[in-house]
Amino acid sequence: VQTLTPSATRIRILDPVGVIEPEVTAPAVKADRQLSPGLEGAVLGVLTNVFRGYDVPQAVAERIGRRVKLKDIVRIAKPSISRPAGADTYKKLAPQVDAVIVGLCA
Amino acid sequence: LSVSTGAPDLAAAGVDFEDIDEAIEHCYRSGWTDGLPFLLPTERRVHSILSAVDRDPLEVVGKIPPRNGTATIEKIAINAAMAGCLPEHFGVLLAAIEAMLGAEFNLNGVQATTHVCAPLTIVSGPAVSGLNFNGRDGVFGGGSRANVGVGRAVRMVLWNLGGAKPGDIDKSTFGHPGKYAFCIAEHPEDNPWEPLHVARDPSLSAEDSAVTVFACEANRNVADTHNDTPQGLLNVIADALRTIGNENTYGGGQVVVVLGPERARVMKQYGWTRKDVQHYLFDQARRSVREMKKAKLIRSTPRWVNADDPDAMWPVFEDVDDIVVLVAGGDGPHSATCSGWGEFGGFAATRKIDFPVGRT
Repeated sequence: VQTLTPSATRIRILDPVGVIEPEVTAPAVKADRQLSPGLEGAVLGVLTNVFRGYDVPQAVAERIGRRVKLKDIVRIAKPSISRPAGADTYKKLAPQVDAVIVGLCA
Repeated sequence: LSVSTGAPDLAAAGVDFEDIDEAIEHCYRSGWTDGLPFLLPTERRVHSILSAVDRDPLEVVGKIPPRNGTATIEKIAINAAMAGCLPEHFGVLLAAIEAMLGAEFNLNGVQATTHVCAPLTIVSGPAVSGLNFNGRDGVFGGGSRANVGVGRAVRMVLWNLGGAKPGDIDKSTFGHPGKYAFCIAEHPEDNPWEPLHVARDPSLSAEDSAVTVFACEANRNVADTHNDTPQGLLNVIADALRTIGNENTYGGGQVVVVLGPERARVMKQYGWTRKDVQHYLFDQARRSVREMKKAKLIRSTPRWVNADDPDAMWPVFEDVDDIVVLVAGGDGPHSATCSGWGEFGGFAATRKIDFPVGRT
């Protein structure tokens, strides 16, 4: 009977996870005014992703609007529901708003 | 356990163990696997895979969305090692990953959607026989180390570099058995037409080998023991393609239609080209405006369809080339369809496999 004994050989395994480098997907826009703490008086942008009638970002913006006095809510739709918004969309939205809801996660 | 900076010539961090079971459990604990057993990504195994291609290990192939992990050749090789991918198949894997990173494929959406789709890799050309890919019996199932190795390696890359984990970034309602491994090959002999990659990209030749990637549902079987003409056989397949609830009927896009070799022989007997098959399916895969409205499925309507006429026939596909036709599988009265992710992405993308000089 042959008995297998654990080998004393060192096992080195390599990390398969990829490095994530910080990435700025939206163009930098210089703020022309300082918002007061919170969103009081702000124009809130909403990047909507309407699919099958569900417009969750818009609903969240409206709920925020009931809590703080917003100056306005500006809504802009993503060109595609299945792809992230591109720089063109952000460039169009940025001059109109003080802050933007670009996504939600649970 | 100790953590190092990896092998002297590799950039990836390494972790040292004196016990193989500890190493395995470390991989599970770290979330590096999809739940299936795997091979340990040892330096030796990774070196062996890297030696199969003439690529700089630090070359960046791209970022794998949605997590956007940087996919260097080395990181892809580490995941290939875990998947059991053999060195000679690494070039096939790289071509598949590069094809998926094209804008049309929308890998970001494919990885995150609630839809069931998973990327399917289809290998065509001399590499099928030369590298022992299975394009015959049980082509979607197990039994081929080449198919499973590449298919699983694709998944490991999407898992570890793209972060597509169920309940987290991967929001698929049901998931997909192909999210473990999903790689098939074109039949190496019973294909009466040019290889799939030549049909899709005329700049490629039959001497080239290539992969075509496509995000789709699992294969749906289409059985037919009664028909023996192209029209009869394709009528039955077309009926499967226009099913209400089918993603194509719901949202357009593309489909892969896999003809078994028995069907391919009938097409050859009657002189039907691949394009003939595509045209016929395009014409037959339609539903009446009445049916579509009843199911609330009317989306953008082609200008040549009168949406006010309830009897007008409304096409499931926008273009004949949205129907990707290939021959694979074993004998038997069957075909298969794999519906894509509608109009949202995962569109078929073909890329030539680059082999080092002197190897095919």
